[in-house]
Amino acid sequence: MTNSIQELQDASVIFVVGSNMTEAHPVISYYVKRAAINGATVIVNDPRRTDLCRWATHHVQIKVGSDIAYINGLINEIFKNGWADEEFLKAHTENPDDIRKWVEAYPVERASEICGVPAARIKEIARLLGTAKSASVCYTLGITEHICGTDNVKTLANLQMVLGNLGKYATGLNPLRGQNNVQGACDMGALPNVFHNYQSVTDAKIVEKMEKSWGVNGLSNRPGYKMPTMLRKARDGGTKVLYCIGDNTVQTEPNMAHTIKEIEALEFFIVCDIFPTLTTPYADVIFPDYAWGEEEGTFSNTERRVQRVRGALTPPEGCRPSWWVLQELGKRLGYDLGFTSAQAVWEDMRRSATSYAGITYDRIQNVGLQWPCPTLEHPGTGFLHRDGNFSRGKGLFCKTDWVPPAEVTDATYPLILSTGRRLWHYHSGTQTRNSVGLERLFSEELLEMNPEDAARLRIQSGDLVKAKSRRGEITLRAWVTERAGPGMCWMAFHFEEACGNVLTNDAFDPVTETAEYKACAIRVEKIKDRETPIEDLHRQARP
Amino acid sequence: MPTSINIKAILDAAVQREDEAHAFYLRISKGQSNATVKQTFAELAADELSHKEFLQACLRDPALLSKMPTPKDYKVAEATEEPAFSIAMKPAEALALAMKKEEGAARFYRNLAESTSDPVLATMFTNLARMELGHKTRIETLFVNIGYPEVF
Repeated sequence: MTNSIQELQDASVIFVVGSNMTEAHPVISYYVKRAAINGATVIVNDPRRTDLCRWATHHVQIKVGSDIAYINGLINEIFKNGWADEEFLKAHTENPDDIRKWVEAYPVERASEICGVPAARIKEIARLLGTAKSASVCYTLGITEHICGTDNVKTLANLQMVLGNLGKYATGLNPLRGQNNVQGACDMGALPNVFHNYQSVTDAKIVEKMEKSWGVNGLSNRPGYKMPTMLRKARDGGTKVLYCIGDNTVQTEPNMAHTIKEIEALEFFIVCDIFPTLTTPYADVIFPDYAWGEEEGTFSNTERRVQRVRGALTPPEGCRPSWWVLQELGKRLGYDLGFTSAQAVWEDMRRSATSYAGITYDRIQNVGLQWPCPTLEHPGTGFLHRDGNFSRGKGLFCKTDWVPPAEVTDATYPLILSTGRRLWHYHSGTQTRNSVGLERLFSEELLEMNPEDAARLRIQSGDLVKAKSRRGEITLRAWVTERAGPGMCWMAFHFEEACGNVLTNDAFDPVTETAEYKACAIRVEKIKDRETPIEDLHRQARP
Repeated sequence: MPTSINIKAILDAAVQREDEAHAFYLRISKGQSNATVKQTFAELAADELSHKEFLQACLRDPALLSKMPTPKDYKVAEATEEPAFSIAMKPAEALALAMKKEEGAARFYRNLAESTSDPVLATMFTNLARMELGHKTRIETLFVNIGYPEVF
């Protein structure tokens, strides 16, 4: 996030796009609700009627995968009406005339045709954004899990630069990261092209610095593979060994049948996890890991805040923390990292990571600190790009063009399926589906269908249905609800018994290689009338 | 009064240092290829002129220096390597160069304060060091905002 979570409560306009935050980021949603109570304009842009719509002043029901057309339409309208922050554009951006001209290709009428939102509604939203004192943009995986995910993000950045909404309190471009510590994982270099602290592996000076720091020679200066490439290359021998830590690959990657074939092609497969999963049967070796509540360390949340995590429970016999397992492997491969604790790992990292250098375990005993925090004297940084200053100098507008999802509907597969997360479960359910209480609250996956589509197929809530895509089929009960927009279905991937990733399409964004989990074509058939009603679902799905 | 003569001489020298810094930033601004960096150095040059004006005001009223608030010292400059000068500096490198320069200026006056046995002069040097520290802190804040990009 460019800004901090708490700032959301002071925003005058909050533009939420592709984010079911009340279920996926409930704590962050409290601040948005607080802003709504204080009179903020909250605009939810989503093909689904998510629960945040109850608090929103506006719900804009765009079609799945139409974000670029919709947002370019908004930008065009903002320019046309003189609502752009011309002072900001002149002082802090490099090519404002490029974007001004580019979005002329997206008059509201064309944007409306693509995104399915009436032109008058697009004009209204543009006016709200263009005349607001300030606006904050929040987005989540509904933006990134598309083949055009990178361009979706760039388009949102264009919008906020046009409005001059960067480098100020309670504004900014705020991705709500997909997992609780994904920010920390990226910060620590769990990426194929950077060491920790985003230090490039292709920079000879950085490589030399890390070799000196770790007392080694010959560190690779070539970027590694992203996950889809790792898996794809298993089939041609390009990936021989895969080591998964806390990742239920079979259940979470798109196109499950394909993923299994890729994993089966590996020569050696190691999994480190806390419970058996759909992935562990394919492993040659399983390392039993510490769970949350058992391990020591830090999590870095989406606002760049590094927080202490403490072990409160004694782990089961035989389990070890991930860092210990890696260290033991290192010893057997001839290199002893020499760590004695999670804190020792942190201290080692801190020595060569300037933005974290001021963050010690002592300083975050009670409250975490937000990086950049380069020295022990520094208080951390709440929001970035103050006064419109960017790392590259002036902000650069990128021209983005709408493209349809990789798979669209046709006569055989007439509905679009989007996948996501439910309040009561997390990711592939490795943790939450082993919780008796959470299982009681939400014990089976349901296919959300719009009433219009359900009526056409004579499907009622609770009926057993088959959902089928070009990649596979699953059987589950239907939930007929306005939450799903017309022409779309929605489900989560928490349940191995009926997992959305049997159906999802393994088409990827070319830059990030993030899969298009939010759009694949399916058809739905009724198998059996309902035996028991599921009347309390609305209560169960509402936080 | 020998001390008051010394104070005038010190402030004159400080004014001259600001002039030199102004000329330095203007000179390197002209050669930069990145428009933002060029502008940053030009703004830093203008800052030095405003520092000079403040010091000239102090010549008329030396008490002004002692009224300056004590800035927080985040020691970011001290923790940052001085970038090599080039005509294609990045914005963060430009700011790093400037904050290292301010760090040096503050250290210069601190050393003078420590080396004199005259308490009036020591106070004058300490105040000048505090002024330079304020400049350093301002540039450090700008640097932290852009110096640690999340690029992957």
